[in-house]
Amino acid sequence: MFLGAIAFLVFLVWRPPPPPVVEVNAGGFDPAIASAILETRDAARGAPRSAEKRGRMGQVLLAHEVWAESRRCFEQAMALDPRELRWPYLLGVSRLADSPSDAALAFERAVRLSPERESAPRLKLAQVLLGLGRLDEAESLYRHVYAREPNSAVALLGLGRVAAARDHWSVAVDFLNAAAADASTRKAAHRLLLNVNQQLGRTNEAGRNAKALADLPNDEPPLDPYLSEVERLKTGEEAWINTADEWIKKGQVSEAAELLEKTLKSYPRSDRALFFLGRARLRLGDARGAESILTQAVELAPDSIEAQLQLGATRLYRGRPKEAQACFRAAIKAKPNLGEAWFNLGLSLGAKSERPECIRAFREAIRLRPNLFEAYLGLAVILRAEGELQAAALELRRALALGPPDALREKLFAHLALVEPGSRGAGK
Amino acid sequence: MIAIPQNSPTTAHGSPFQWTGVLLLFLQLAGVGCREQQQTPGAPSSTLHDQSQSWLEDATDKFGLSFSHDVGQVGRYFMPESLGSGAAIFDFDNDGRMDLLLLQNGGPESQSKHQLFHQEVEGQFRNVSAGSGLDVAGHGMGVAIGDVDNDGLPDVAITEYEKIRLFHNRGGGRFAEAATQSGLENPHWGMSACFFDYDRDGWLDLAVVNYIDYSPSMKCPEAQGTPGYCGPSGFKGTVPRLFRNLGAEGKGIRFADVTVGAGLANLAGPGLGIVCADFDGDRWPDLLIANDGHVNWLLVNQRDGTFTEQAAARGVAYNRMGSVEANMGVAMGDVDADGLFDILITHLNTETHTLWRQEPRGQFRDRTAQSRIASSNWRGTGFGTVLTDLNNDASPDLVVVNGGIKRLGIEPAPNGKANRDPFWNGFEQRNQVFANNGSGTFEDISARNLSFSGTAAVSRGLAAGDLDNDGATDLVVTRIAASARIYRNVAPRAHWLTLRLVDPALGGRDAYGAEVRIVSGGRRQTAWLNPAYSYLCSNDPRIHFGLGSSSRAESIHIVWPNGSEEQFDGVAAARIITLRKGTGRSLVEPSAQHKSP
Repeated sequence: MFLGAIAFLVFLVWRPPPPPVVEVNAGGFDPAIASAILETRDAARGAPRSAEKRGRMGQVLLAHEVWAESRRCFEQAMALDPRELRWPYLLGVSRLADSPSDAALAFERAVRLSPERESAPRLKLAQVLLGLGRLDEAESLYRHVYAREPNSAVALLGLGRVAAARDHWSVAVDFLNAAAADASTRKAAHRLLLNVNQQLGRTNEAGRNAKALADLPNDEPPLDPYLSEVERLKTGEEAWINTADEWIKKGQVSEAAELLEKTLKSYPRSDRALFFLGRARLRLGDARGAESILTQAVELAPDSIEAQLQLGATRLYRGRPKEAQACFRAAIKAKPNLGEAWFNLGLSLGAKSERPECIRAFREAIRLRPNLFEAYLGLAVILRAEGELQAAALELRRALALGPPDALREKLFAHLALVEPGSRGAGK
Repeated sequence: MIAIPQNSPTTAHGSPFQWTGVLLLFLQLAGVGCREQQQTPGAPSSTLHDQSQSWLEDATDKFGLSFSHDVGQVGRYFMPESLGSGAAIFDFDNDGRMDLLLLQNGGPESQSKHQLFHQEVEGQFRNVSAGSGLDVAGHGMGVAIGDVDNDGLPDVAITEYEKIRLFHNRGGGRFAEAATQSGLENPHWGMSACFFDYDRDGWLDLAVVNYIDYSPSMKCPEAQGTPGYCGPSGFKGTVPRLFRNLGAEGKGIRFADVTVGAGLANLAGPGLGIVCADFDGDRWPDLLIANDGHVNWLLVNQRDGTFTEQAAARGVAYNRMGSVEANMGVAMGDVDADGLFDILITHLNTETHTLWRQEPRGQFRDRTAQSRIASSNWRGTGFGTVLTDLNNDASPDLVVVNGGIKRLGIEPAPNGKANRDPFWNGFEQRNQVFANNGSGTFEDISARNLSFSGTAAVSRGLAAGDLDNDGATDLVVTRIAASARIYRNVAPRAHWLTLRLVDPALGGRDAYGAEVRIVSGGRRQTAWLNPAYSYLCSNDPRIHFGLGSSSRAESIHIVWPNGSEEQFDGVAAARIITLRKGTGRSLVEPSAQHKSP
């Protein structure tokens, strides 16, 4: 015991020094990001034997895609605390970009360190192994999770993928049907089901899968507690704007506006933040506020085609077509082949004296974007106003021949009936 | 202002290359259908599977090629500069030696112009750009080669950012730009392009893949807040364009834009790669378009001037995971010797290059896992790619050239890096070679091909062709803001046979769309003629077969683009032979079903 105590003391005195904290050249980085990195670096220097501090620095670096340095941090953290599963897990994530084989080794270590009930490392390793063609190993991991969590959509999809890769169609169908119900796996499951059902000769089912696919949103990323922790560390102008953009797409427009306002406090000359805030304001019904904000965006970045277009759209929405035209013309001047700008210009031209230019604008929009159904419709409306009923009907038929979405098809038929009475029934 | 239908104004950007030339000419004039251009002794078969020897050597200097790619002033992060420029291997003067065209990307005001290199008798490339007509500047992207007026001389189409150019080969190394008068107009960001005869009227039509409706004012910082190049997300995709050749109407070089009428107008996507081939076995050419971060499209020719999209139904829309990937370059070849071509598409380093095997005809299955392509210990972001038999063992091998689209800080390569400008640090990656074991499984042999794979560069274009007519496929690689490189094939090799297929009735032009089946040593091989594959490139239009230990091809069977079939006598190996339509034994005349509309 005495010798043991001596040995422990000797270890404390003579144990190898911790490796130096990883150096990062943050020159040119967003100041908020550089600051976050330096803060974690200093914390790691302050506690040189703390795996947590090294790991945290690695997380901040990973959040901002500073790949090589983040790997070194995780390797150091692993050396300092070989029992913590987060560090090999995140090392695996950081290696996915260049060496999936090395990533798999890291995830294997994470799995060894994780309790039986912990699914995230197993699902991640299974996905990497599946990508590497190591089907048996992947299946074993998916089955492990499935046995404990029969409703795990990721495990169900994984087992469906393994079965499909082995041409075990009937087995695949069951797993994939189960995975098709979950928001994180439904689109991928439907895509595979389409192919599997075709292999099984189930043409009708395959058709249904194809139809469903057309309307499905992209799969939401599955919950990953270790990556969530990293996501939360994202900071800086770009991260905040991206988050706000995501929120706007999801309908969380008020929250997005709030985040963009916060962004503008730190980055007052951010024309992008202004641009997105203008969009958010418009979505919130504050067209006036939106116009004011977008005007600032255009003042800060007069060459911004996006800002000009959005400002023009806002002015058009507010019933000020003349001012909108100026924006659309500025956008067209910057990018003459922008079909969308021509379309919007067409929408803003409608006075009798403007009709020839309006027709030109819609025709240019159609030339540049032959799939812009609304431009055919706009053109037909103007042609009808000009008394050119046959020409209007021709444009509407062209649009219909392209196979527009259902709602728009109805509109096109309705307008066709106006210029060519009796054509609706025959057309359908 | 009149009442406008209920449309809210929209914004897309808010989301926001011996002497036998004289003999060759004589034989041509004599109308000999089957001609031997060159004969070299067959190589011993014992070296077929040498596991240690390098297959490729950098022979850029030996060939006398000097070309440095220019993207103009960097730092603006103007997205078109990040996607590189293509190359063409073609014989513009029909002297039997492959020549080179290399594109620049410095913009229309740049002093850097596209460059044409003629291969001299000694095998050196001489820069013949000045006065050729091809020496123009622009944001050069893709190049497609095809004889649009059936005069026997290959013409050139070049896609650019927001432009397309057509150069008519007038002979004598002179090309005349004919785009405006020709009716070719493409206001989009054109990428890969392909000449093919979709309506089988004997005149080559043109399909152009377009990328995104890019806005140069859009900022796309990297995750650290530093400036970066944009990716396709946040921009609307654009419609591919199909131009029908009106040559049959006798009005000279004229095309009609038939995009809408052909049923392509409703397909807007971020297209990068293309191959034109018969995917459903009806002997009418179809189109496969590789879309970046979007499902691929397989446009199946309905034989009436229209196409229908069938990628999902035929299994090539997405990968085995049901995931959509960043589809870029496309390679085509029969990797498992079943007589059906297979498809490989390159992807990002975070994804896998995907191999779709055709099994059965018209249906494709993602067999990446079985092929072991994904098992490689290192991955890059792949662009140009070819399936070509490098060691002549009768199985196509795989080559992929890599280069990042954002800075990744990947470890340096053994031979250092290609770009002197530190701006490109982090984008540069190594290239890869995979050997086919004969049954469609591959081994990454990059580590023993350091001449080809040991230097990091931002590689984009990859073109394949037998530059020195020695029966081995050589490679040309284009690299952003760096020199283009020629890699000579020095693989220990077996017997080989190279075929040029021409149709005398069509001015003696290459018979794009033909299918060739040969039997050698009891083994069947099949190949398809169209030089447009890989990424932004046009390849050697001749068909190369490795024959392994067989010293002759016992039979040659050709399905011509109009559906007729002919059998040609067997020939000894180690030859470059021209087979002329109408000079073989006729097997099948085009049936009513296969006749041109």
